[in-house]
Amino acid sequence: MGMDFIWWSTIALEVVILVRASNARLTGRYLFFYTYIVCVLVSDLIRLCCYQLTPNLYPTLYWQTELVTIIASYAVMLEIFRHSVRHNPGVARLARNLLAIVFCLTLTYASLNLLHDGFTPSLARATADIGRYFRYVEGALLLGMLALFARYRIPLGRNVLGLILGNALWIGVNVVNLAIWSLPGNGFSIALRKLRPATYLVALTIWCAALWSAQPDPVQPAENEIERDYEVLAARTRAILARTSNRLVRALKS
Amino acid sequence: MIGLVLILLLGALILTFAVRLLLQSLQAKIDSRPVTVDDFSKAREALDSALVAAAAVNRIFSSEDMEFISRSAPNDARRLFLKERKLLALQWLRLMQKQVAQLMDLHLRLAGHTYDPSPGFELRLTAKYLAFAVFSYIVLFLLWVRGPFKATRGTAYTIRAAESFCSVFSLRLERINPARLSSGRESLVH
Repeated sequence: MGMDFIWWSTIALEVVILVRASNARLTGRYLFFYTYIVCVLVSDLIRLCCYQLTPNLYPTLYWQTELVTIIASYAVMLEIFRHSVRHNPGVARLARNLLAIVFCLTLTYASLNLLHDGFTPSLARATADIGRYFRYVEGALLLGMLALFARYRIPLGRNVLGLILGNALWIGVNVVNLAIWSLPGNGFSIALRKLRPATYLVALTIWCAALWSAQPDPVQPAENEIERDYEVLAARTRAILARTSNRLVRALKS
Repeated sequence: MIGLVLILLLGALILTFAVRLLLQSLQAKIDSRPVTVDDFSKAREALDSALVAAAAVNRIFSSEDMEFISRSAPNDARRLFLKERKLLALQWLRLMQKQVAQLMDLHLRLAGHTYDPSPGFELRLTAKYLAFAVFSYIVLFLLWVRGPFKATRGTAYTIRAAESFCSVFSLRLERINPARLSSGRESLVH
């Protein structure tokens, strides 16, 4: 009963998000995100039909559609990246380099683990493993992005902030959940099985609230009021810190 | 097992950073005005005003006054004098900490707008700032525990560490063309 409620609620929320996108004219602005929502909605409907009509095929179909939605969820990351650092070319460049490194490292780690563990004869299990590693890579990329946004205090509008929060909640809980779930003996844990859809429902609610209407981006400083040359800014900060600590030392030495 | 711990850490860090971003955005909503170089200059001026009275600050930590009071005033007056000096020293140091933290915050926000931020320098700057913060907290603790006069004698080692940290900053200034620093705006390097 509870699972049915979550299932129908997620489908309803996905429809609401798409309807609101159309009404608020947000589809073009966040095209990648809405493509992802359409993809998830279609996979939810296919699963629902399969569950009702051919329940014995459901486990295999579930993991196959899950793999597709995990790959599609990279579109949300692209959307977040595209909108967050639009006015911050330096941070965008830094983020691209950092994400490329993180991507290579995590993909190597995931591939080695996958090869080490070996593929199981079960197609459903093998698909689940690949999906899990895709999710780990995505988690590492998201962490790199969030760390940069937090460090450089990137100003975020309500729409993008909602996208980030929903995605971080979904991926963060998912990564932990999949890691525990993959441990021997936890494969049939009912609590873990229920946690994922419930988290997704919360993430959808956050996205729905944040993208209810188009919100303006944060005000950007005028071009003549900001310093674009990093060397100059860094030198100023260094000089001030050096002077401050010199004075502090001098005062304490006297 | 190590892999599992790493994955759990990854998930926990994602959630932590998401909460941090939310808090930052809520904070930014209160002051929705974008940060500019003028804010940076104002922060510098505020920090300068805390430092400008160098003679008065030196006096807070000077043992001459304490020796004079010890010689010529009763115990009550000595206690009151110690209490006031301690309070002054603590207030001055806390003000400095707050203003340096504000300056670093402005630096990071402005660095986000630059064309080519250097991750290497940012890491070094963070390390130096953390060293400064730790140093100032050690001094704050010593001031609180031992008072301004005894604390200065007890911080000799910490001061040496701080001096090396200052020289690292100063050396790197040589690479910068001073003419560019003052272009269009008041120079921030004295």
